[in-house]
Amino acid sequence: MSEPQPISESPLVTVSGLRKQYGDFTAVDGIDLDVPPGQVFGVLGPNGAGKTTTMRMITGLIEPTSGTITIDGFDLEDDTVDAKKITGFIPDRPYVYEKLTAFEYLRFIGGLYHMRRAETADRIDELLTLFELREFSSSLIESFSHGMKQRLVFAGAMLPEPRLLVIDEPMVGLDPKGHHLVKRLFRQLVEQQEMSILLSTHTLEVAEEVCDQIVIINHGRIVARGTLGQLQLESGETDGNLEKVFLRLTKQSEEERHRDVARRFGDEPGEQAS
Amino acid sequence: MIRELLGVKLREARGALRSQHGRVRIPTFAVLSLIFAGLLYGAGEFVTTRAMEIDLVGELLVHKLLSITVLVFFALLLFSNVVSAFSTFYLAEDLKFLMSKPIPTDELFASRFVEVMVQSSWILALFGLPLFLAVGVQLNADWYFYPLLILVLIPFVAIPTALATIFALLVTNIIAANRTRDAALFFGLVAFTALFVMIRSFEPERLLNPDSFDSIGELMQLLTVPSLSYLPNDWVVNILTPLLFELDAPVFWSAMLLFTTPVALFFIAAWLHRPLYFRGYSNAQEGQHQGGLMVQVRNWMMEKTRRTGVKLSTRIENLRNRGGRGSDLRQMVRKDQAVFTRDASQWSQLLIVLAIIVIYLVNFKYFEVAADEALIGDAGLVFFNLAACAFVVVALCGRFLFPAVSVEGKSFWLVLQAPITLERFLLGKWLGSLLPVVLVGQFLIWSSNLLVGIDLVMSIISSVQVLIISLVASAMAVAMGAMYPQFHKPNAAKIASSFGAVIYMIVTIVGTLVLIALWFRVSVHLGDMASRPAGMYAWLAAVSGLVIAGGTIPVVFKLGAYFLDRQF
Repeated sequence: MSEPQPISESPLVTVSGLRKQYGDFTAVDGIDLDVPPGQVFGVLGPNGAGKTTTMRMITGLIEPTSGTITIDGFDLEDDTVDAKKITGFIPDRPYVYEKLTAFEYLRFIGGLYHMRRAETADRIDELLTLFELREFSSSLIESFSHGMKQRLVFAGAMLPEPRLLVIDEPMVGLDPKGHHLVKRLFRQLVEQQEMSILLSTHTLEVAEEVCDQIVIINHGRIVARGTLGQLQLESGETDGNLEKVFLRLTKQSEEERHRDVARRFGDEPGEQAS
Repeated sequence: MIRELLGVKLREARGALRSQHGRVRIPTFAVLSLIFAGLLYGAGEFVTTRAMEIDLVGELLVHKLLSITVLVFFALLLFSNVVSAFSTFYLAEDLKFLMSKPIPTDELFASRFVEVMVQSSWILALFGLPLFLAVGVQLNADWYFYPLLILVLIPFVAIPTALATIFALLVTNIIAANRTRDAALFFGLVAFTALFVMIRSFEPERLLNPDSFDSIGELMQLLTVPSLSYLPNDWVVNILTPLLFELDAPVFWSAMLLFTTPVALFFIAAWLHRPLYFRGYSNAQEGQHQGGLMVQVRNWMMEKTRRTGVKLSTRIENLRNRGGRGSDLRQMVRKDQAVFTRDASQWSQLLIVLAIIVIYLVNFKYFEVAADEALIGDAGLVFFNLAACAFVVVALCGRFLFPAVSVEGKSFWLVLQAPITLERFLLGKWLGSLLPVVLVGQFLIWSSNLLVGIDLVMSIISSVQVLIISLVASAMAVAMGAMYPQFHKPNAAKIASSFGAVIYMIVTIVGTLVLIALWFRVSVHLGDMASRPAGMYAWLAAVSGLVIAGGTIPVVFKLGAYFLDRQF
């Protein structure tokens, strides 16, 4: 894990009291977050903890049941467009318009963000090179592999040079070379361009290597937050790696597990027994 | 195994009923369907009673009408089975999972066969049964007519399923180089021809004016359907009519053919399935194939539209030199156009548009006769043409624009996270589709008016009305498509026949008829066709029509964006 940056400026993202309810099920239950500028901020948690829902609420893909999200001072509910102008999002699965070419896709993104055409042209040139997609710029996206699509989505999200990059599972579909590229890129973006990166991941090695701060979510709530050192202290795993810390902090008793299943799927003891 | 394969479908249906959407939509849809079936029953009852009141030929007329109805249902079943066979055997999402499992070929075939049959035959249960029941009740048929009716309809729906399955098996192999979508193009052509021939052979416009028939014999001649002993619809009618009219006609051959044909066809299909299915399935999964005219045309079109010949550096340089800022609306329109023109599955649908236009124009010529005979009058003809033209525009918008939001599919996250409002997104969709809709509407109204010699002023007035209706209908289609989005459905044709699309059709058709009615008095006055000048109320009605039309567009966009937003 890299050295945490001093938090002197006001946070770029402020999330307070964020809740998301689906019927009787509470996916996210009162999350508070402050993402400082110029940091990689990791969100970790077991399956179904509420990470993706939180990320999607921060990018405006899902409406929260309650709570507020402000991005660079813009309230996501009231100043939606302004907040989104400075945000880029990379989902875990790269669904993009398959009948467009890579060049057309990036140009489309430039249009959505009202970028200057000259700037769009420069960025396309730069990003196609960075993500090694130059020779495929005229190919339809439908002919791309999963990893190529993921790289294109990265390029699209970075095209308007957002101040905040939200990434849900950045490593899905990328080969080892892609892993390396992305990890190096995260640090570069943060250190050279003062971008803030909010990423959720299962890949603890990535979190360990690139995140300045981490929060761990379980059952829709934050159960721990801080740097790796702080988390080690909190979990009592002072000499352990992030994996040990994570397992300790998210450990469930049998009773907690049953409660969790009942909370999510309704109280059907016969079906839970298995 | 068959039980498991079919059972999982039933459990899925039960799960859909329990889901949040299903709890509301399925009962609503069921109630609407029952109302519709009730109306059909009423209509069947009415027609049968009226027909039986005609001396001498009443029974014969009912017989003829029954034959036409069964023939139409057979044609409908054939078409829906072909579409269903393709999607169930080759394109269904769960096939990727099932094909990797150790499921015996024959059992997979049998379960899919039943699925196709059930999927495409509900149309007969919902719309056919009420009609047949009404005829039975009105003719005081014996109690055993009803169980026999059900017994007869089962093989009647199995035959088109077997034929469609065999057809799908052969097409995916014989035209192996083509993709399944190209086969869809072929079906479009077949449907076009069948529809055209059927509509023309009935000459429905003549029914508007019964005086044009010299004799009852000629009326009967019109109602004559191709009576061929090798068509299943004929077998069904041969079995049912003796029960209805208490005749002592022999039904043995018809019954034997009706019950043995589906069994034989099922086994032929199963036999063909063994060697042919996997190759066809594999072909359907592949993205690109060489050869085949349609494939070549599609590839050529893609090459042209994505400008592969231009170097990346040149394209970047061109973009840089254009200066200014990129426009979100322009980029959305360009994106939609590129996606549409490169999707070969949409092309067959374009043929259907062409078919509708040709049928419309060819048939319209016949209405001139009705106008000449003062049946509906010149003003009536103009009104009728306007309404028919508006109906075509509404239907086209339903087919092509209603799915516009839904076809964004899983890529919709891009729009949601981008700095644009959903109203603007809908505006982009609308602007991108306006030109073709307006062009088709204008082409129809001008060519039909010219065909029957409507004067220039009236033609201009009609043209303006169709223009306004095109703007409103396209906005309605885009916005209502946003109110009933189906991002999980990849097929635009399926979205266009969904619950939301039916609601769109009903609302928009009623709305456009109201607009035409509000403008009617003033337009015939301006066109110098009115016997007396339009009064204050007529002008007020016309102006309110304009206000309603103008107000509808922003209001539906707001509503569409609001409901779309609530989905997330």
